[in-house]
Amino acid sequence: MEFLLSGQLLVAALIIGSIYGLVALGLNLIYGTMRLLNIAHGDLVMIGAYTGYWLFTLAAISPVLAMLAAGALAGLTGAALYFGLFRRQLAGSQPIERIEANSLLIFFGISIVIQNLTALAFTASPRTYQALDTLVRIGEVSIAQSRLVALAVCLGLSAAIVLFLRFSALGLSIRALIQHRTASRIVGIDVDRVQAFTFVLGFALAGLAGTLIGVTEQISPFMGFPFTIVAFVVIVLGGLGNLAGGIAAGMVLGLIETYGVALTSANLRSVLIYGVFILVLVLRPEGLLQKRRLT
Amino acid sequence: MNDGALLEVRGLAGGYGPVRVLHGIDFAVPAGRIAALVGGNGAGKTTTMAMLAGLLDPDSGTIRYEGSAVEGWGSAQRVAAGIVLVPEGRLVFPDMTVEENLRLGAINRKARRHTAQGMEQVYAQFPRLGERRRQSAGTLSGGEQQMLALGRGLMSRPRILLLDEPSLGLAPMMVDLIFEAIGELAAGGMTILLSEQNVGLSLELADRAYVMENGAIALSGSGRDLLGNAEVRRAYLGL
Repeated sequence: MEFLLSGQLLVAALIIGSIYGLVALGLNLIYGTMRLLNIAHGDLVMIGAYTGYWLFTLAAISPVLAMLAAGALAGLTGAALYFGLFRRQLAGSQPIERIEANSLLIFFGISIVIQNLTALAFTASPRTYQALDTLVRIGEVSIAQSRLVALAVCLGLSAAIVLFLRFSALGLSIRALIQHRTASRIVGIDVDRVQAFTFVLGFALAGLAGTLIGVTEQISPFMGFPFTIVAFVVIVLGGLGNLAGGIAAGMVLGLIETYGVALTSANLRSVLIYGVFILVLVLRPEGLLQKRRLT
Repeated sequence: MNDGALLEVRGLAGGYGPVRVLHGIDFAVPAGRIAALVGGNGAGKTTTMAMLAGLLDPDSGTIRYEGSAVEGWGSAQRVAAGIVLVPEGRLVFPDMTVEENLRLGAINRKARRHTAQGMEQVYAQFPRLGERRRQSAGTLSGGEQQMLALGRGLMSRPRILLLDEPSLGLAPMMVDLIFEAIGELAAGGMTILLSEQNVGLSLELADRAYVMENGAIALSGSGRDLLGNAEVRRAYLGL
């Protein structure tokens, strides 16, 4: 029982939670502004992990730099998909529910294509690499440098995005679009431009987080799907389209997962995550952290 | 050509999917004046407003603003050019503060640098909004939300203000307050297109008025003429 109270476990939970929060933030931004259900979100994490792996293995580039390249690569993928596929759908006169349902199928296809192309290029066998693996001691807790970097980057970036959304004109436009699409057009927001930006940002965040994840976890073409699920659980927990709530919910899920696994067994990790998902959907479908609204 | 018209609409027709709401309407809004579209529920007033604001594409017809055809313009481009809608049902951003709603009114590039000055003017006109500037818009009363919607529209630095049913669902005292504000704006030289079910009040205020029925213009004339028109008095004013 004593190790449940250890700082080690708490720090592990915070690290996982902060990663979940950032990964889910990208998904939430895209869902909130465009109602697109990006089931391929985890595959951007995978692309980011491979970017980190190859840049380190081939060119000895630190993951701290590689994550920027991964963000750029994922962002470019996002730009290609937005301008190639989704822009026209969103500009048309289809009801938003139709777009939402279609997007699920389209992203499902995209996910399969990305996974199989990656498997074709790099084989399906899992890979790992050793970078930033010196242990850092803080009081009684010792953490690998890579995890500490992940914690700092995820928390820092999440906070930066919340501030950006709160204070910049573009951030205000993004929040407006999440709240009311028609009203956003009425006040003269350039909806297409805001959507393109948000789409690219959401993808870039997933790619960047992917590099940080790839340093500490096995990398394979199929590693993304669990992150897609986690991201969906987090945004349901935090309330769809509630960005700050999602970041907090990432932390909550990280805590539940870490302490749940410590109390039971690692084999129950998925059961815990799906369990939380189903419980929230049944008991509080508007999200744990969303205030109830009658609309 | 109608000389001195800031906005001129010809043959505007269309609707939602297969449902045709407008069957070709013509009207003009003279610069610096109030024009009113009046009529009952379902006459096509809100559809007209949506087409003017670029929210809905017409099937046919032309919209000329300051002499240029604007049918191909998106809503953002129209707002930047000064065509600003204050929509039916107000459509404020409920989870944002009063101040954020006003900032969003000035989101277009031209208006953005005048944000602070615009806010001062809105608060001066509606002190109640100033008192509630940190409150979220969803907690305001209907009348306060209408003030906010109007203030948000003014933040966009409009050259023509499209007011869609500003009195809908408001208490009589609030209706007076809103109409007073509209009168003040007009006195200050603002060009206004007002759509209203409150026919009496609108005709009193309007320099030029159009009575809409079933997606067509049934009658038009100066506000005063229509107020005196026997058919209008019987059908809309219950006299």
